[in-house]
Amino acid sequence: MSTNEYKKHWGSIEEFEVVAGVNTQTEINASDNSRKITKENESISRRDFLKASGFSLVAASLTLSGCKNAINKAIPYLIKPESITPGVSTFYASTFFDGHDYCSILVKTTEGRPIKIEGNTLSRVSTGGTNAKVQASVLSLYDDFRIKSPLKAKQKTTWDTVDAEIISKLEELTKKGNKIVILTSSIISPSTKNVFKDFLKKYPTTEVISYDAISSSGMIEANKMTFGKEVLPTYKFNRADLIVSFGADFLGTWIAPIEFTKQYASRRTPRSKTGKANAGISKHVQFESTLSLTGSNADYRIPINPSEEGPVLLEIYNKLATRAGKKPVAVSDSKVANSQIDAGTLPDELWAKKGRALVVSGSNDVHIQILVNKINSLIGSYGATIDLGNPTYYRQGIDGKMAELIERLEKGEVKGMILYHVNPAYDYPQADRFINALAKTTLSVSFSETMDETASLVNYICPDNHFLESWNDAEPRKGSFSLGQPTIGKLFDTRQAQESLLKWTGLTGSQGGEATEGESAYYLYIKKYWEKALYPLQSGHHSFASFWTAALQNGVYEPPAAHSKSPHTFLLSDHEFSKTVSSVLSEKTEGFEYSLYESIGIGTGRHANNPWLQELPDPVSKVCWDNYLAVSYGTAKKLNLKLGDNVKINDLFELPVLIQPGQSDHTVSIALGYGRTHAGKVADHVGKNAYKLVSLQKRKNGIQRIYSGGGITFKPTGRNYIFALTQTHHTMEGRNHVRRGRLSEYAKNPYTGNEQRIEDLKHKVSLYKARVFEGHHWGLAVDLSRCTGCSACVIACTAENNVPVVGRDEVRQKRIMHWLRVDRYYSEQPVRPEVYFQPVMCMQCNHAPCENVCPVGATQNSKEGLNEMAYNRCVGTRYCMNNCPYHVRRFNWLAYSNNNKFDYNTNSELGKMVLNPDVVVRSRGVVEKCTFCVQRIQESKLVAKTENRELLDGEIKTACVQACPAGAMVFGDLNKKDSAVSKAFLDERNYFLLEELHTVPAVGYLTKIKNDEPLAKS
Amino acid sequence: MKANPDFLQNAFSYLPLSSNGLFSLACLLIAFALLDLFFTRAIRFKAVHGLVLLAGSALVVKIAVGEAVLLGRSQGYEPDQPIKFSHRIHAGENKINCVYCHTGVNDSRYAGIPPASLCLNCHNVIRSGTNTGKTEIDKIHQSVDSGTAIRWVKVHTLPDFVYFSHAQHVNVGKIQCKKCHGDVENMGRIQQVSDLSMGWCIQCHRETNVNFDNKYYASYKQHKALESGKISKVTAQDIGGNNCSKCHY
Repeated sequence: MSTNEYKKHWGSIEEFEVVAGVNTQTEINASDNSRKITKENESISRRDFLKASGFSLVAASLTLSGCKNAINKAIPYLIKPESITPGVSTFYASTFFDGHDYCSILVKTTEGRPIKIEGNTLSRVSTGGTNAKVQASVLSLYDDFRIKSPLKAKQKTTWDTVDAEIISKLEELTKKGNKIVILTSSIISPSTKNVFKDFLKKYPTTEVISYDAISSSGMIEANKMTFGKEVLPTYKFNRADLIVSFGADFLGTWIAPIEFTKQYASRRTPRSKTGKANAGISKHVQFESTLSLTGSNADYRIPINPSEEGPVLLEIYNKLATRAGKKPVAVSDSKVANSQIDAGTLPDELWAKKGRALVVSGSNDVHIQILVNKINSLIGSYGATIDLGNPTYYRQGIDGKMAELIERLEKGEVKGMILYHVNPAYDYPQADRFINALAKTTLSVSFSETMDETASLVNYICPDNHFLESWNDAEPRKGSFSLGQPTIGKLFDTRQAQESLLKWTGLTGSQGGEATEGESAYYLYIKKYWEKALYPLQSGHHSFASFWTAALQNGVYEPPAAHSKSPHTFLLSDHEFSKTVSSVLSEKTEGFEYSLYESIGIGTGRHANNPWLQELPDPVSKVCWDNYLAVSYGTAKKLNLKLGDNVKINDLFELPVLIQPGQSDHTVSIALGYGRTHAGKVADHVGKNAYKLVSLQKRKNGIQRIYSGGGITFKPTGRNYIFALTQTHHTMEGRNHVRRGRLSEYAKNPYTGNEQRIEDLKHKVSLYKARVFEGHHWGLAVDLSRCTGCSACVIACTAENNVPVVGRDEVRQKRIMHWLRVDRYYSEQPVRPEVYFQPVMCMQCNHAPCENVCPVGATQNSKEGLNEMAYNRCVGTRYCMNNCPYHVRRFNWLAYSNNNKFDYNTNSELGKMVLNPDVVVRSRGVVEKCTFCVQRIQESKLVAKTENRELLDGEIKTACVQACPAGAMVFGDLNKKDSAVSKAFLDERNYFLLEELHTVPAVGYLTKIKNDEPLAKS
Repeated sequence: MKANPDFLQNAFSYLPLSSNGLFSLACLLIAFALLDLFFTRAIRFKAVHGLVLLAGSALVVKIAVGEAVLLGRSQGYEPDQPIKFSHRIHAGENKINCVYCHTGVNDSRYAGIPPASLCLNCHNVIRSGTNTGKTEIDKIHQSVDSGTAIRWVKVHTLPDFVYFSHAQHVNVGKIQCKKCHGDVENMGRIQQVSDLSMGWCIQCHRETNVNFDNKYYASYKQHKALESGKISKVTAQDIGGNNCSKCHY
């Protein structure tokens, strides 16, 4: 393949066909099927137009003649709270944990309203990063669909009533000796666990069962069987020179993606000036069936079918075992023939990098996880890249217990159910069985915040507070603690779940003592626990009060971790091991296999009613507002499937087809978390519920939920569906936007992939005078080697800048409003594409093409190099959009606020509370775009001025920079030679988008360097 | 002291001059010209009619433009307030510093209207005023006791698309309150003195020197020019004070 061809990128299959010359008939914009949308009843005849304009003229003159300014009221506080100065925002440290993702956070509140979430840099666990779900969680606080008072049989009632009735029923059940079960999502809060314990003391027939929507039971149980520890370990991706992942999307959704992204990204930048070229860069090999975010970032990605995972792992194990002088596991030939994949020299390399390698698997099959554990222990990962001594507690659900619970419910053994942040009526594979079984209880209580699928089935709903209204603590990893504090008073008549449990236990005060007003019982409970359990661990503070205040202020308390070098003994005997793992080889199945995955935005589906997340294009497929059946290019060709063709899957439901490059040929994939029926107005009936396809399989230790399988059938229904698909929006017409190089070449020439830059620098001639910036010159550098494409920045930008949600139909018409988009490009062949991500925001050009075409001067360049946009001056000609080579300007085609057609957060008084008061809400008919978060620049400048000091480098962080878990972006002053961004701009990898146009952008990119070190020689 | 029934009155009004008289004059001129042109025909030279018509219409246009410019502005606005509060008495006669009540002015974009509890700092003791006796001061107590906020009428209003920060102007720029709010010490009811138009803002930014001694500006290149005497001053405009995104975002 010639170099030229190798550089070619494509954004969609249709583009690929044009680029590769496969099908010259295809239009590049074929995937842009938006043109098929007809505008019904929207055409206006000339007469209507005249009527309307005549009427408006009369109306306008009538109103103007009686024009008076509105009388505005100014209503001050009666008694001003000490911590609030109107107009100044306050930050509170808190903790996000939704039973799935953990993040230590800072909550920005303005006039008492939480409006933005940032990462807490003091946390050793999440280290200041966030992800899209964490960023968006502030919006769910203002969800209209939240339950506003306690409910009994769906009717509004009072807390006193529910408390009295529930207590009497609980007592009755206990007296009779009937079982009560608290079914909960994973709990990492030590205080909550104690609340459960206290509850158990009062009601001894109670049992607590953990249930995760997306289970990691396989890993937990494998650790129990192999090391005697029923936990998840702490992973250290930053210590691994070689990462081999089998379907674990550790940068997107697997266990603790924020943490892992930080670790991973720290090893993805090739150093140039400071040290040897490839001293630190890690190598990442991914085996998977669906093209995940993690797979997109891998150096080597091998598409496999789910059934091949076992054989490949076993092959790796056997080769390693031979090297280690152990006996390989014997396999029968008929079974191993199933695998088409050859692990090649990978085992040799793993062996060579002993103690510096890591193997992970996303499978929930305990047998596979045992095999992975064995491999990791052979290559010395434990104690090096895996820390089992300091485990993490993100997932605690054991599948077998849940399966057992349903049986017990069916038999009538369990009479009372308390459901805490779980929704099995939606996300359990046998939801119908659960629903019927739940009906057999005499008492069912849910703490759900919304009327979800499960909550709508219970007797009593005792709505929990939103986490931003609650006290809590957390121990995500052994020895790392964090606190959650309320950042707003309760919006509705809700009560924190722990508070309810304490009430029913009879512990309303701090274990006996009565809580004073404003201090909830659970708050005192946490304090008591911290005083008893954590205060003695430290020595810096001389009183508990000072320790508590410091912990609350920092959000975290993380005493130095105990170094665990404990030898890990493998508990399974060789015989047992080979017996167990040989079952990972299955007979070849006919037809297609399937694999179910968690999507970046929607996750388990719990936050599906969040319009920001629904409108977040999937980082890889770039589809928003839907899930779909991902099929490979080859399959699509063979079955003659086109983009958006509806297929009926297993006679269960109908989904449109998306042709996913990189998809394994015999596997189709569907995202979980969609198809909610009781999520709220935003998410109801968006997509289809793929949890139904999760299979329950018998394993050595009980039932296991398996997220892949075989024998799936799908047949076209003849209908075609139009996706809200952004991958071909704002295309830059095949120019060389993502520059990339290979590590081997980079070592010789740091300009590799960036040769164009040298050429451009030679031709740096301009008709314009060079700009001189007297004060600041703001710039942003994006390191493509670090960026994983996770899209946290997109949601951060949406939250910070009041970017409207426009809905599926508008996105179909390319009207998505995101100021910051993450472009995704493929190269090579669709079977094994290479994937590149590139965040694109306004380039803040020095010589901006948009500025000189504006007829009204609404967009101008500031003395600090910002390309400004004055909305109130804009008349909406859209010349600027037309002239912007980067396609970063967005037009408000319609009024997106107070408009019933856009029934999202800005159409409700409650939802509008999330708006940032420092940024104006744009009206219809104006163009908007990224401003480099000028409100943040101005705020930081003002602080520096009032403190009579210079701005520090890194003091100003735009929303995207702050949100990034990978640290891929830096913002700063280009006028200062020693600023991080100035240094980045001097890097050999630095280039500017379309520099040849001489727009002189203030956003620079650093080339993506992939590690192409060949897989070791045997 | 004797009660003064006019204690809320102001000696000045910044209301723009009414153009009603001028408008009537212009209409009359046009009417006369038309009348004479078609009916009375007293003036033989039609050019005179033409000139008068032209002058009349020009006047109408000028007035229309002038009025249109004033639309949405409220210079001289002086509404009645729910409590008969006089700045003359508080800031003038009793010499209470502005910042005593408007506490946000140094830290926030808003100077802020004092919470009712702050009034009570003094009015817990001072239960009766010279001019209004107990009636007005009682309103504060009632408000605090009953927990109902006082709904003041906002006088200085900027459009939503303007970001204005008091902290920047008062704390950093050391601008006197008077500069924009006028002679508050001599105002009964508060009156809007400036028109708060964009032209007014920009004009001030052109004229006002920046306090370049603030260390924040240390890296600004204008320091060199100042030292060499190339420039004698740095105004707000010179450091970008008149850029769109200083106020609009």
